[in-house]
This record gives sequence, C-alpha cells and structure tokens, in this order.
Amino acid sequence: MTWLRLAFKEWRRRPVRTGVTAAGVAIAVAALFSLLAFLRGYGQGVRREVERLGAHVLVAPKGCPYDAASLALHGASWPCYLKMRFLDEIRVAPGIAAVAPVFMSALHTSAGHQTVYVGVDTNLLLLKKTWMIDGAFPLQRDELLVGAAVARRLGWRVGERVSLPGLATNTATVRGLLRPTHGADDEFIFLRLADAQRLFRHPDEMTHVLIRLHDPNQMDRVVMQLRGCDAGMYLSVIPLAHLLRSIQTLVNSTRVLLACVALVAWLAAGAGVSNTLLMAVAERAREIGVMRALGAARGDIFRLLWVETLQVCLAGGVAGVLLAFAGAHTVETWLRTHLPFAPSDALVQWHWGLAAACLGCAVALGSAAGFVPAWRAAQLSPREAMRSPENVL
Amino acid sequence: MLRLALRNLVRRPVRTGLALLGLAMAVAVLACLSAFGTGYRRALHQEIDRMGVQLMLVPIGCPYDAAARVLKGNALEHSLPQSALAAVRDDSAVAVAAPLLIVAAPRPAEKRADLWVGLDASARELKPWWRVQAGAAWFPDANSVILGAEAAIVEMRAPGDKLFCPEVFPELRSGVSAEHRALGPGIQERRRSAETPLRDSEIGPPEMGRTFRVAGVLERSGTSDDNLFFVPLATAQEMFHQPSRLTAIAIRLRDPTLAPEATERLQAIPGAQVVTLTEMIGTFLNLVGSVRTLVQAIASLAIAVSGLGLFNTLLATVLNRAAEFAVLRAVGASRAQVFVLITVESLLLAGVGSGLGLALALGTGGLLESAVKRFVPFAPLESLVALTWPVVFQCLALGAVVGLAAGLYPAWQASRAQPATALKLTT
Repeated sequence: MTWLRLAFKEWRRRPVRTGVTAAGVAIAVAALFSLLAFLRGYGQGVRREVERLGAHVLVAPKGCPYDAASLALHGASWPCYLKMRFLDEIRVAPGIAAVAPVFMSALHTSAGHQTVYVGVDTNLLLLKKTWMIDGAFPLQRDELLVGAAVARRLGWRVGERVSLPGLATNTATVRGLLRPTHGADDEFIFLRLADAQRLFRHPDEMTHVLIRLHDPNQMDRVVMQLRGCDAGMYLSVIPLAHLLRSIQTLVNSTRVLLACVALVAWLAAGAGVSNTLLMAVAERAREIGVMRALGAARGDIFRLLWVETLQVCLAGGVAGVLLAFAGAHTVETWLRTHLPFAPSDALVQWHWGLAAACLGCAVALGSAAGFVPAWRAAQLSPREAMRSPENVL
Repeated sequence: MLRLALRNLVRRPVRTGLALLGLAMAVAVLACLSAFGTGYRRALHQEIDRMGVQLMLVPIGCPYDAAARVLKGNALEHSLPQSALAAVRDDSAVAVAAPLLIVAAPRPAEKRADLWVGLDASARELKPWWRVQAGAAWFPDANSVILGAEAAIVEMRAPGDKLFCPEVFPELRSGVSAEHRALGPGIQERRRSAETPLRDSEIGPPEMGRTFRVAGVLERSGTSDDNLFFVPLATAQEMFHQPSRLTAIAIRLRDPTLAPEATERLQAIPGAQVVTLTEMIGTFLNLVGSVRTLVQAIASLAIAVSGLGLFNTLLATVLNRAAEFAVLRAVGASRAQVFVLITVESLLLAGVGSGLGLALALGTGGLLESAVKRFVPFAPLESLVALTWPVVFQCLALGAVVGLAAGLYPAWQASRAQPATALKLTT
C-alpha cells in the first residue's frame, strides 16, 4: 500500500504532465477498444440480420449479390424486377421448404423518412417463425400488416382505416401489428403481393424471392440446381451463408491493416510514457540518490518507478475505455456513413472481455515503457546521484 | 535562433529521440495512407485507360468480382457460351468485341498457377500497346504461344524455343468434374458431347500435354499482362477442355456515350451480365475509400497521441530550464523572444519528426504495398504508394501544426520566467 501511495504522490506533484501522459494512453486505449468492439459488433450484426431474414437463399435480379442482399435486408426500391413465372421453376427445385416471393418498394414520404412497402404472401410466415402478430396477416385486398416502429410513429391501431404514406390517394385497413423484431422488419409495411404489384404498377413482377431450405447443409446442391434451371439464366441466386462468409472475410482482411495502425498509436503512446518517465527520473536523480543512501535497495527504486508507470497507464486505460463507451454512439454514426454494408444492429457493443483485454494491454504497455527508465533509475549510484546538480541523463 | 533551438534539442538526445519516434511513426502511417489513396486511384484509371474497353460482358455472379478477376488475369468459376459473342458483335453500338478465355493452370510442383489466356485477332485492336520485344507479333499457327515479359524470364524461353504444357485438367478429359456440375446439367450435356472427339485425338503419348513453339515475347508493360501465356482462343478452348466457352468479352463501343443503351441491350443476353468499367472503378474506390477512412481515423489518433508526447517533453524541458530562461530574460531577452525560441524548438522537433516519418514511409512503402495488395479487391500491378509532392507537403504541414499546438503552452510557460529569479537561482 505504501508503494502505491508513494507512487501516487509523485504523480500528483506534476499534475499536467501526468494528465497528458494518461491522456495519450487513454486515446490509444479508446481507439483499440472501439476497433475491437466494432469488429465484433459488425460480425455479429451481419449474422443476426441474416438470421432474422429467415431465408437461406436469396434470389434477386442480375447484379452484385452484396447490393441485392443489402436491399433485401434494409428495404429499398429495387432497380430491376423478376418475372413471376420464374417462381414455378424455383418451387420445383428439391430440398426447398418455403418460397416467398416479395415485391419491395420504398417511397420517400417526408424529410429523411422513407416508407418501405413489402408485398408478400402467406409463404413468408413459413420463414419468419419468430414473428408475433397482434391481429391477423393480411389476406384480403387493401389490408396491411404494420411493423412496430411504423405503427408507433404513425399511431396506427388494428382495424383502423389509414391512408398510405406516399400514396395518399390510397387507403387500407390495418389488419395486424407486428411485435418488435429489433430488425428492419419493424420499419416495413407489409401488404398482399397483388396489392403491392397494383400500387406500384408492376403487375406480374417481384423484386426478390426468399427461400428456406429443409436442410441448410444442402445449400450448395440447391443453389446449383437453381442456377442450372432455365430461369437461372436471368436470376442471381445468392446463398446467404456464403455471402456472410465473404463479408466476414473482407472485414477480417482489413482487420490486420487496422491492427497495424492501432499498434502505431500504441507505440506512440508508449514512447510518450517512456519519455515522461525518463524525464521524471532525471529530475529526481538527487531524490533517488537520497533514497538509496537511506537504505533503499536497487530493487526498491525499480519497483517504485514501475508502480508509478503502471498507475498512469491503468488510469489512462480506464479513462480510455470509458471514453470509448461514451463516444460509442458518435463512432457508430460516423462508421455508418462510411461503410458500404452496415447491419442495423448496434455496431460498437460494450463487452467486458474486450474492456479487460484493453486494460491488460495498457498494463503491458506500462510495464514495457516503464522498464528502461526504472532500470536506469535503479542503476544510479547514490554518490553520483546526490552530486548531480540537475540532470544526469 | 534556429541554431540555439537546435543545440537545445541535441543536448538531450534520448528525450528528443523518443519524442521524435512517436511522431515519426504516426506521420509515416499517414503519409503511406495518403500516398496509397492517390496511387491507387491513378493506377486504376491508368489500367482501365490502357485497356480501351468501356464494357465487359461476364457470366452471372458478382459482376465486380468477375471484372476484377478478368482485369487481373484471374480465372473465373463460371463461363459464357460462345453464342454470346455473336450476339455482342451483332449489336450496332459495339466497335470491337474481344472474347477471352482465361484459365489458371496449376503447377503443383512450383506451387503456383500459370495463367493462360486465349485471344482472337480482335484483342489486338483493344491492346494498342501490344508490342513484342522479340519474335512475331501474332500467332503464326495454332500451336504457338506469346509470352509476357515476366513469364518468358521465369520459363527461360526465347522466340523459337519449345514450351511444353502438361495436361492440367486430366479429370476433365473423362467425364464430370466439379466445374461441370457447377455449370448445371444442361451445359454439362452439351460440353460432354463436344469433348468426345477431342479425347480421341489427343490420347496417345504417355505424358499428356501439348507442345508449343514460342512465337514472341511481349515488351514489359507494367501490368498483369507480364505474367501471362497468350495462345489462340481455339487452342485455349481445346487444351483446357472448354469448347465454345468464354471467360469474358471485352467490348469497345463506337462511341463511349452509347454505353447506357448498349448496356441495356447486352444485359438481355442469357447467362451474362454487363459491367461498365467506370461504374466499377467507382465501386472499388468506394470500398477502398471506406477502409482507408477507418485507417486514417486511427492514424490521426496516433498523431494526437504523439502530439501529447511532444507537449509533455517540451513542458518538462521548459520546467528544467526555468533558470536558463530567467538568465536569458535578465540579460535582455524579451518575453516574445523566449516564446519564439521555444516555439522554434517545438517546430524543429515536429519538422524533424515528420521528415523522419516521410523517410520511414519511403522505406517501408514497398512492404506496406505488398501487404495492402492482398487486401484490396482489385490491385493494379503498378506501384500503389505514390509519395507525391502534395502528400509530402500535407504531412509536413500537419507536423508543423502539431508542433505548433504542442509548443504553445510550454512556450508561454517559458516566457513567464521572471528575470529576478535568475539571481536567486545562481546563488
């Protein structure tokens, strides 16, 4: 305890210097924590989002599968359409448990808000096993199933006759409310496939098809089958699990690069700590000499300085983790504007293991940075140190 | 003033060195990043310009991935039927349509894969820079090969020499392979029937394969072409058992402004999709840009951390030298002069740090480049890290700003020294 108090006192003697050193460590720790939390959160977010979609295979018009998956997951207007007749060919493929055709379109209704209309049929319920509906699934003309977030925003109730946002001349009855799914479904308005095709004037067309398999391990076979069928020439068949894997690979490959740069920040922080401590040792050469003369062993001096470093680094580490936690929202907003494919879940997530790992890194940094100055201080001979006017280093 | 500041810095080499180290590393990373951004954009545009191609017809799949593979001379998993070529050539907007068949021939003994590219005469129109270093400029017969500059060195072949290519896909010769299955049952049937005569004609020698005569060696172009083996299209289709299949069709339009209509018409070809190269560049730059922004953010944090270190060093120095400043003031130096002295010191420190950082960036640029090339979706073969003057100035300016910001408070502290304390301290 005395050791800790003694070391603590020393840092209080130079509050600005200590503060700045700790701030350097804090920034480095905050960067590392945000980075790790982001990489973790991103992977989880993408996985959970695909799970919520309930489909194993996505069939979309020709184009980049990443774009298509992003459109299907987040809701948007599609640039191309599929013919309804492809559906018959898809249905006959073996190993398929459910095929849900979807017509999706997004309208910008007011500033910043878009309303996503999703035309579906009852097959969708075979995919969305986790859905809880208050009321009923729309089966009749002009009936709606409304996502939780939309219902809250617009104040819609079951049985209410409402005018459709963005399609003001049309009205419909709310038949069901979807309980919160914590996914993109909360922002969607579901209606009958035929109604959506009529409203958006694309009769006999759809935007994508969601497919659930009996056995997800049969994925490759089913995908080959779908690509091989006649309609396959006009479709892009996207196995979502593979997509997930390639996104993960992409993120993983940037991880090394990011880690390298984070390492540079750490080295800069380490150099700062080391430097501060060297200066402290130089300034206190005489003091250390007195301590040695009074009977302090070399080991004691070494330990004192080391404890000092660890204290600063630990304080910086804690501050950094807190900083990262406090700034998580800002970091997330910033990341969203810069990433091509961002899941709707929280990207930067708090995780105790990560926080502990970051603190551990800070301690390791302190130990490494404090080693040379502490060793140097311990090597001072008491006589020389006492004689030195100001500075021996 | 400058000399005085310099001498003060040299007085404590360890301290100065450590402060410099952090800053230098941070600047190096930032310099590499900026340089990479400019270099990547330039190299990408250059490569596309050189190809003289506006559109590319590729098999269904991720078009960007496909186009990138074709540009880099990588093999694709799927292929186009040759009938697509006729459809493309029939289009009124198309000036040149060059079919390509790119196959990676694995060489397990050397742990690498050679890329064989089948071309027909139309490819020459798309490659105006196609210049041979030695030998003939085009294939005199079906069994001739033209080597890229790098490939010729690796294979140690000159025009006129013989080059033996062993049978690389023996499993394709007899029945169904994994790739066949990937192409669906319909194609598989067609393919198998077309293959039969081929099998009869080629089986014979104990070691299967094909002997080529090297017709020419290309001049070094600095692109992926340097590593390729070029053969006539029909030969490539035959030797890799891909009868009437193409990897991609590179298209030059009569007028680049016709691209939108042409794209729409060509998109209707079954099993194929069109990629516009300008669009593709945009996507790549976006993707690379987003990673770059992420890295840049962390790099700026590193700069901030090193700035704090600099600040700390200067502050400690100022405290140590309080007596010195008091003496300076006592002998007639004004507050402003002391202030400027410390500011110059900090600027000098930051400048040297940035300079070291740039040198470090120059030194490790190659290393970084090879690391980055593995990660970016489409890496041109030219140097990506271009340390241009604007980048250098940018980094130096940033260093100066950091130095100035870090030096202000310590300089102000120093300038507050009272001349009277000089007398006390000296006694």
